[in-house]
Amino acid sequence: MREIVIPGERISKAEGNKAGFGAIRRGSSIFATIFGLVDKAKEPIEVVPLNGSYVPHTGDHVIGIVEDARERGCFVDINSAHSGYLAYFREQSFKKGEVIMAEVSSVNEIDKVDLDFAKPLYDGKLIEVEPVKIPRIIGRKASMIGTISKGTGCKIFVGRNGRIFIKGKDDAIYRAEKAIRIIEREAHTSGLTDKIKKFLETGEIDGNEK
Amino acid sequence: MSVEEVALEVKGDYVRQLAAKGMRQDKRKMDEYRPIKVTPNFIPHALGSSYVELGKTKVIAGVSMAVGTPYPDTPASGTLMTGAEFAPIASPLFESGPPRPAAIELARVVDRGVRESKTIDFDKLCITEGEAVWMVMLDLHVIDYDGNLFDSSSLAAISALLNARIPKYEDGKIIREETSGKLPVSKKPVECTFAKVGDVLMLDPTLAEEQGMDARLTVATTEKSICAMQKGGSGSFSLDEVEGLIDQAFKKGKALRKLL
Amino acid sequence: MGMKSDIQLIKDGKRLDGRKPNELRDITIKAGVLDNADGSCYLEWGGNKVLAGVYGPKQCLPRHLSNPYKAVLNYRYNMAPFSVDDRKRPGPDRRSVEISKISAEALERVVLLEKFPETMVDVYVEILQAEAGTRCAALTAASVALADAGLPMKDMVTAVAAGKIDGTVVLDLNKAEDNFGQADVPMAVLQHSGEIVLLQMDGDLTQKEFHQAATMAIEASKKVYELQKAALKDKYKERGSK
Repeated sequence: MREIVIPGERISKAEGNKAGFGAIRRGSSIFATIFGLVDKAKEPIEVVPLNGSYVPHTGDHVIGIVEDARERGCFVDINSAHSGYLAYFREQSFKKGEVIMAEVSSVNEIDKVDLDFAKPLYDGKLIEVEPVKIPRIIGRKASMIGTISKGTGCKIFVGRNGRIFIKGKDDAIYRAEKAIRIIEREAHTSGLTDKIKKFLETGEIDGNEK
Repeated sequence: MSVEEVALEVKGDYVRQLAAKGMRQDKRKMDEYRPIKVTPNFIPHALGSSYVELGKTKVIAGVSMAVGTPYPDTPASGTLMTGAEFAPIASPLFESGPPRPAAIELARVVDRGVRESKTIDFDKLCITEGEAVWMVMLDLHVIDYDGNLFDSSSLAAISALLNARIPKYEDGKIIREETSGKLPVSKKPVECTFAKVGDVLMLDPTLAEEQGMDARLTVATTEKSICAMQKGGSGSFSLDEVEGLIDQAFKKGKALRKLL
Repeated sequence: MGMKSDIQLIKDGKRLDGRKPNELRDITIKAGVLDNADGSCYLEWGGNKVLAGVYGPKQCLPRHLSNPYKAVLNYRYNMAPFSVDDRKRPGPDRRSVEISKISAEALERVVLLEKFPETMVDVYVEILQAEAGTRCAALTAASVALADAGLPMKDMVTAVAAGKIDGTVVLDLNKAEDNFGQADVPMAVLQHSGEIVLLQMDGDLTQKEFHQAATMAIEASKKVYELQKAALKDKYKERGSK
């Protein structure tokens, strides 16, 4: 049973629980530190954020925009509090403003990130969604994003940092983005997979649209 | 260049790509407005106010009044002053500080639309000739920015002026709680802004479309005449393009006026 | 404070607007109202209308102001020109600067800034309509906007003012009471620890009267906290079914 909690709200009074992400132990109780969803039955007790900036983890695939190109590497905006740094590999080189997909190779103690395995993305549309919604957009075993990709014929690159790059015919890109926006808006609801399938087939969205 | 500006450039590129194919990101037609919502009297304590949403862009206009001395060359006329604030809450692109040139331009263009159309009957704002007149102060407060501040602000401005009232003035004192009548507003000028992206002309640009555009033209019209125009951006228009846009502005202006 | 008048502000336990001494004005709070800001809140409190927006955590610029141990929190309290009877000239005045400073300090106690070194968090509050008690309304809204933005906090900050009119200690002064009253005590508290993170006072109070005022404000803050909580939880419920 998942419950919404706000910062400072008490989640549990039990002595044994451990506090995970978004929670803190104070004395004999565990309190939420962020606005999010908590499953009180899980251990450790952690709060899944309903909003918030991207928290980088090693191994994440992210989509960045080169903001400062240097001789041996470049600084990349990854939609996080700090830019990431990509050290060029051999002849690699990027220009300011280029959109790239890369992997987070390391994260330091203040969440500054090193990037690796970068490749440019072009001929498509870059959109930004709330980073916390990315897991839902990807879906279990990439099922959700696979459905959208097949249903529109688009190639979709999803960055954990809330950025998505869509390649395809213009009309297909429009539909893919719309489907993604539906998920972003209703990530917490059930029946989403069916809703998306229906939208891709018929173009209809039931329930509240805007 | 800030991080937000770099990301915006990428979005602007996509707009240009689409425009070359005659399309817009949100599937609007080239002469279509985003959804518009007008809420007059949004700030009831103000003498006049209105809140306008144009797509995601949100602007509040407020009217204040004070008594002051008239300009020497118009001793029996009230005055109008228009200000605009790009509040930093509205966008990561706005910083705190004195008004940037774009904010000053916005205020002056909205002002011109109201002034040149003779919307306010300034002669009715005279209290004592040569000594005391009503000074109208129109303030535009941008709270969310997704492009096209001109049209949203001018709509909010006219809507605010239309529901504005003049306080009572007695024995040299303003009695705000009482009213001596509505602000004399006789016209409804509206502004229509077009962006030129490559060779394509589109009405009501979003922020991304403003980023991708080469030039912009704002045309203020009343039912019968053009009362103000402003070209912005470092591109250019042909005379044919300008006249075509003026035509559109009259048509689209009519529809905007219905929202007031 | 302390303007002269013949009006009786409180008679037989009833104030001019009909409220009892310990009654709050009507408050409505809505979270997530702006598209650009990372977190936002629109709040109406009596005749006050305030809009709070938060951006961050993001890169701290200019760099020389960044802190290697924690995020820098900036708070800007700003009154729209049409928010008050006598048009307020745009730009920070001394009063706004003071309010911004003490409000930032209140939030610094609460936002877990150490989790984001070398970054900054910008909190903007626009006063769209003012009717006494704007700094409390602003800080209460800012707290909701910060939570909405996903920033980690020890607790929510709830701000309520109490004061004295015609010799009686009352809660939440309105405009007339603020102008003609005898004391005003804006306060902000953290619900669970009871810590006071903002406190100002001007006027004339005995220690006993201050104790009354503070107790009244802290008690009332519980109601306001429930409204903050509801605003955040409702935003979530509004989107889609469930």
